[in-house]
Amino acid sequence: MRRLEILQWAGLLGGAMLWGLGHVVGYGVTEARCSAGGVAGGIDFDLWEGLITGIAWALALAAALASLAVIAGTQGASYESGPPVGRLRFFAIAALAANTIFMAALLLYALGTIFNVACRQA
Amino acid sequence: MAVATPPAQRVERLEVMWQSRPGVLGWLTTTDHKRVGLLYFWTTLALFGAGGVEALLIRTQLIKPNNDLVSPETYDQLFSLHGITMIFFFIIPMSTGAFGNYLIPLMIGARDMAFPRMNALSYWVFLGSAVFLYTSLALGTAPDAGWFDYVPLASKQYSPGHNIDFYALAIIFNGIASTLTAGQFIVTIFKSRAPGMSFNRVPLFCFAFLAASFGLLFALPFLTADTIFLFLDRNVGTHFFDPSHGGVALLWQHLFWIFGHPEVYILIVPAFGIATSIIPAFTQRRLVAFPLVAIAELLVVFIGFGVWAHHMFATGMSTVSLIFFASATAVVVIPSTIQVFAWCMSFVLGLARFKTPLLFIAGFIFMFVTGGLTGIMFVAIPFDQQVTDTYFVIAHFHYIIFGAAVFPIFGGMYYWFPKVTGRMYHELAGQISFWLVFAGTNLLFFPMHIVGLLGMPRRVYTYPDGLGWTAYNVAETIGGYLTAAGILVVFGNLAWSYRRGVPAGPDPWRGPTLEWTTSSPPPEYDFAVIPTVTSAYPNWDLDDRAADRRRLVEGVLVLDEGHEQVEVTPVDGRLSEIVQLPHESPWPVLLALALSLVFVMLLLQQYGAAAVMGAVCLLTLLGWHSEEPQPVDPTAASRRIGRPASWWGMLVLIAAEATLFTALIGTYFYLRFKTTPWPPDGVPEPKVVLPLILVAILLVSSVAMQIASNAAQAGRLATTRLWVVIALVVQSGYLAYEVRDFADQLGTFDISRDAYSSIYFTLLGADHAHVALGILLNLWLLGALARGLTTYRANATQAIAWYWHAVNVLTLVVTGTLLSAAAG
Repeated sequence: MRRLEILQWAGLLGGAMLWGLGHVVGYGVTEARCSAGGVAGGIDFDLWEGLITGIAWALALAAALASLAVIAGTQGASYESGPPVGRLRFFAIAALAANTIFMAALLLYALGTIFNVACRQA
Repeated sequence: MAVATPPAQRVERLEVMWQSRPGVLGWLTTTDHKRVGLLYFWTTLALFGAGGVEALLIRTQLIKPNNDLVSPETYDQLFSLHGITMIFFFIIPMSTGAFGNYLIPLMIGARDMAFPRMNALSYWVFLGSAVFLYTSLALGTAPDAGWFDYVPLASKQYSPGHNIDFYALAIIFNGIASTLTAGQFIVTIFKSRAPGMSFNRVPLFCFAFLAASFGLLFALPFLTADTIFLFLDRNVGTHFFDPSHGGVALLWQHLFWIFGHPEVYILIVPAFGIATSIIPAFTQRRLVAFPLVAIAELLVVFIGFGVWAHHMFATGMSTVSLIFFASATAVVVIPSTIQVFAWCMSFVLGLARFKTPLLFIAGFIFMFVTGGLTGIMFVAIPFDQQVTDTYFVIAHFHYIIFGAAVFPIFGGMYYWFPKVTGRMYHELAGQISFWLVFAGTNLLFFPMHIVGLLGMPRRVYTYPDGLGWTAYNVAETIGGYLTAAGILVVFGNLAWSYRRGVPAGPDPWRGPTLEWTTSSPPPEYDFAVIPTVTSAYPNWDLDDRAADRRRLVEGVLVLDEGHEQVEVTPVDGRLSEIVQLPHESPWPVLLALALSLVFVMLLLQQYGAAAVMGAVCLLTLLGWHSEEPQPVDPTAASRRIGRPASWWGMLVLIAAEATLFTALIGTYFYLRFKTTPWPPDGVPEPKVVLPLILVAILLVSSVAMQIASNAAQAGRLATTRLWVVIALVVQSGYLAYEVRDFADQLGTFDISRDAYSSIYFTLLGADHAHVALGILLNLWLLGALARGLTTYRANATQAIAWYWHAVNVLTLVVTGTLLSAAAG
């Protein structure tokens, strides 16, 4: 049960935190790269963005798999059952949906930044 | 517990125990969540009327070309006040303040909020901020730069009057009320639920309000920072937004929209909660995809934090920066769509009874989907750039804000009217009101899409003839008056029904949640016995409700020996302890009054008088905390499972403060990226070694405070006092040195020199203010401990220790940020 508890929280919070970090750091790199006083003027922009979003995406996938493991581990229970089993299943179902959305967002970031020219005004 | 006591006597005891003082004094000192909710309701209704009149004046002015009903200056004030009123003073306080306050404790089986006095304070602060804002209208100096108040238009140079100062201060003032409400809801939903209500059984209404509360908690500090910068730029001479001194005008927009876009979801998520309450009641089935709807409510707000710059697609940012916001805007549609599908499938699979509340929800879904479809269009950056600042945008956000936020509010008014008043509304009049409002709003807002695509810009007070815009504007104005007529029918119906409606009984809809288990209107103690819960639809669990009645007879969880409430573990809803809640108090209204005077003095630039009123606020807080709720069982705390509500309250405060510092530190680096050299020529680089040593010394006080906290929990009074004194000495020494150094540095380079000095001193000053506040808290704690150690004081020691841990971490981060300038 303790293993499932850890997996449930990792699944529920992991994707959200990674998307948040990927968003802020990914956008922050564009500001640092494209601003007059930026500290990242010489960096390989595509490499940085690819690394940031790629790592975040892989870890979000791990969070999704953690949720899936909890769903499998609570088979037979209802999401309305008493805690902890019902609560574990409830959060895992929710987390699986959330992590899928976060992975989609991170993929869009990666494609959008890598296939666009850095620092061109919109 | 006296098992032999008959149930009727228990109920009588509860009635005596929870009885409110009669008359005006009772309302002024009330802490009852239902009364606070009603106060919010009546106040926001009046403000809705004001915002509505402003809207009608705007529409009447625009009914024909070259109209001169109002002057351009008046028009600017009208549309600015309309936006500010509807967003900050109607929708948020109506949904959270009125609906949330009244219903959340009833839905989770609680007798009141976790912090009833703080709840009352939130209302009085809100009222003060509303009076403050509308005083500006009476003086003819209402805000006139839009609800988003862009600089440089809002700078002193282009807006020299008090209009913008009213805006900045009213927003900060109002933000205090919203933060108090948000914190209150979070702790109440976490800690005050009925036993058995684990997180998978929390009503979706509460999930929605939890999402809105987290949204407010983490979004408002950005707006607060922004408006503080604006006030400082206008009145102290700082240069945050002034490009001629290293500032960046776009900084205003970034900070505003980091708040502003989550704000849109904060406005509509409570409406989602209302919809998820009404649909099961009128389809008599559980909502489809409960866990997905619950997470979708949270995700909408969470992802909403990542879309802010889609309001800035036309500001010249680089495409790769905008990609992040366009992508997030596309993705945020998914959780919204999950909910739309769940609502529609519940209609299809259930037996829908289209009474007035459900009609408003059906109208809401139509409006939300229509507004959402135009919202998706803004993901396409080139399209967004074409329609920016046109009526197309006005059409989109009114479909969302009026259609998706206000429709459910009306639906909710009809749905819970029988619960609040004990009477039924008039059904036919209700249905007529819906069709009037539905037809009116569509006639009002739909043509705005077309006139926007034709190029009509927003915020213009009139327009020339011959552009093909007139017919659309006439239709919109007729729609505006039709909507107003429909709204009058809503309130006419409710006012008539309040006197003449047929008695409703406790549960006229066979509603699914706990508020329908108690009488209509609910008694002051909400429930004669604290209910226990085994599903997310507890009123449909007949065995559980029968068990409640048995427990009333047995005297189990009746809690009739004081002003008592249960607290549970936050995740699984296991009974943690029984706590004593404070009852009626004059301190919230007095504190709000003193705080109002602080803002008046700031407006008048009487900073000394403002400081004096600030001191009065502190004295009021001393009075507030002189009354300690006494636990019925003094040994209960030692048997508590988990942490007390006070700890959770402090955690919420720390989260808000940390977010405020995130905004300040983010500003520091944003300005740094835009400015070279950093620090500017002529400004000395920050000292490195001494500040680090001082921070290390301050960190020692965390250890001392933790030892004090542990000692207090163990009941060791002398040890607690000793370590609080040691911490206080260290903290005071640190602050004394830092204040002297701060003054010395001000002598070297002034705060009004450039953007660097502006953010440098603001960041440092904010940190010192938090250290000073911590010292005041410790002084108060020592005073309280001089009278012995109680559960209340032990909890206070724990909470203050956590405050210090947070302040010390913030000091470390702030120091690191400022020292980074020395690294080049």
